[in-house]
Amino acid sequence: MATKRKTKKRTTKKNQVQVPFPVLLANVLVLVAVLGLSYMWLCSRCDALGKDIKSKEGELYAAQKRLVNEQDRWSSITSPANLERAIRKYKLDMSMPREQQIVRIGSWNGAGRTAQAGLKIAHP
Amino acid sequence: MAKVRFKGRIIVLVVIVLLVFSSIGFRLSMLHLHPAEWVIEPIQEGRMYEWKPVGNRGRIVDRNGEILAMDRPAYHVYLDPKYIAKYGDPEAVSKYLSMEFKVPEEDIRAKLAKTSRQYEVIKKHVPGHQLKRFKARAMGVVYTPDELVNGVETNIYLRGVKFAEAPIRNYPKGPLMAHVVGFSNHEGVGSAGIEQRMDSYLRGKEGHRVSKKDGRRHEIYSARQVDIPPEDGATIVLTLDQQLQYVTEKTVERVCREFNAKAAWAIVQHVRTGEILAMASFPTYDLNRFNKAPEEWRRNRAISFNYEPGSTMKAGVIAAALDNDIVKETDIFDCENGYWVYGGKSLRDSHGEGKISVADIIKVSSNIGTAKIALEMGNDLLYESLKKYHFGDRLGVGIPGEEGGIFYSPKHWSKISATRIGMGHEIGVTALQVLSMMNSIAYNGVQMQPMLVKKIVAPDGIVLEEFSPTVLGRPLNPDTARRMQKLLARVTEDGGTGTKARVEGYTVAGKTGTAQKIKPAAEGGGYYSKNFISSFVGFLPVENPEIGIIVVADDPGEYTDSGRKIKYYGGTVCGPAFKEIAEFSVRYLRIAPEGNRIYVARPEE
Repeated sequence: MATKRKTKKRTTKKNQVQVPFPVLLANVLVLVAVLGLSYMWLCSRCDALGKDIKSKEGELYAAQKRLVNEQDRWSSITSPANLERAIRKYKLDMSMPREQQIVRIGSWNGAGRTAQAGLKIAHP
Repeated sequence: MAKVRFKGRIIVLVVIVLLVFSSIGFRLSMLHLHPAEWVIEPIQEGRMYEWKPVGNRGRIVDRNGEILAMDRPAYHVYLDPKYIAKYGDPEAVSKYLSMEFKVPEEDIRAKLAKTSRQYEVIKKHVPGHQLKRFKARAMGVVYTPDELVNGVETNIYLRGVKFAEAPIRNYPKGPLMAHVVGFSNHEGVGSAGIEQRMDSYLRGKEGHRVSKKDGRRHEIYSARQVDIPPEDGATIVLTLDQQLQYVTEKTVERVCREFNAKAAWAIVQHVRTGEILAMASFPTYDLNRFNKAPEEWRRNRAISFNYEPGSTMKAGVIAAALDNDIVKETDIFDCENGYWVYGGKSLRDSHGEGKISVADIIKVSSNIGTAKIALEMGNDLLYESLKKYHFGDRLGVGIPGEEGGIFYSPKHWSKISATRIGMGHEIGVTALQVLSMMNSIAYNGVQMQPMLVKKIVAPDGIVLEEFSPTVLGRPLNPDTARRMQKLLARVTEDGGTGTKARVEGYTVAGKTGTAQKIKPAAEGGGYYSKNFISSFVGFLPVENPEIGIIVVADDPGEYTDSGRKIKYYGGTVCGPAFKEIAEFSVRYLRIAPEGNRIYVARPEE
């Protein structure tokens, strides 16, 4: 008796269902992913630049404040009263020369404005 | 064709996956595109960032750019009692803040007790350096309270103590030019001097920034919607010079102390431009502590003090008489040996003179001689002539508080008024007016408007307004003015009343003035017999006048044991002060003795 051999149907590559690879979809997905990643990269770059600008703004602001403080200090120490105090403190003998000690060399330009040179020579 | 296995399942799976993702996508899209109010509002509110930075108030600088007034960074120290009650340490906060900022601990505790509030100011306008020190000591260092929580050491910072930026007006030169610069109050509103007059230019504009903040409460730069930067106020450039001002201030202070004057004031003005180079008034005050100065100290007497000028007025009267050909320099007048009765009232000279010329009348400052000249002019001409110098009107110097003086028209005059006005009584003037009169003689009869502000410059350097010298009037003919210059130069020569105002190497023209002070009506009216206003007004060099100076002292003098008052004459009190200021000015401005200006002015070198 011929036995009917029960053959198991083998799933080979030949008889498998070949789902076609969705190239278009894949391309679209890759494009979307690339766009998305680019967008995210740009966003993060913008954020980083924004933070950079913010920190520079802060630095500028701090520098401006420091400048203002320094200008204030400088203005205060160069006030005539403080300079005089410093002159006294360091015992610097500074006074204007007397009239006889001054030699003026100048030329009058006739227009009543500025002469060409104005030199003062103080004789000791 | 091969049969697709599980086709149905695959389809179902795909549909389910698509549905799930589509619904998520839809929901996300809806949340982003059409979010519900109740969703978006709290989020937006929490992320909202709004900042309104205040623009700094503009600066005030002298003619050389020296800063006289500026805004300096400062901070308000404030508490968040609500937060401190929950997370902070009220004891430590009150202790440390009290120590650092010298605020009573009880006050801080009282503020901390208001736990519903989130903003309680502890100290206003704390300078940056003090705050830095405080932060290093109490805010950055871990603080351990005495009482441990459940026996465990907990490190606590001074939580809930915050700082708000609030720039403060600062005057780095202290009292220098106090009366001109003025001050702005703690709200940043100009309240005196240039600060008040130029407030609209000085005031900065508020900026506005609307943005979003991240989870760490930092602003997101890319989310800025509105960003209008604040604008600083304009810079006011004055005509004053700090060196000249300092010397002038020192001199008027010395006059006050040396001659026991109640007050003294002085002005230095450039003859040809009307620019005021120095304007000092003593007593003065430190602008940084303006609220501690008595009102009387804050008064700029140089422009706001009306006084009877005395003999300095003779220069104007005699110039007017010469100008109108009423008299000539050589005309002789009888000065009655120092005593003359007119209209039932006596008039005296301090030194009796006989018959002397007009030139000598001004040299020795004869009251009787000038009174007779004034009578020859007649009331109307005298009034009109003096009005040409703008007596009785404000000169428009450009700062608040300027007085115009008191000068009534002839219909209010008595029979003797002309004789009194001629010698500087029955007329109220300010020092600025007298100086302006003298400078118009110096500038060949041209009266210039006094200027205090040179220009206004925007923060970006654009000049918003530039003030150029303006002619106020021409009260004298040039020829008369030149003749008058020569007459006034004799006042500082030997035999004149102003010899103490001489400046070595230079020819000085000027006039002394010593006027009895008016007694208030409450004290019976009339004049005090021993209280005077002394002054000296002049210009130099006579050959080519450059600067005019006036020095005035209120009630100077000393009493001798016998009760006699000495050291009160204008020539004695204000003459040397004039000399001191003039000596420095000519050197500093490099004015040659012959009148040739080697340099017009220092800044233009």
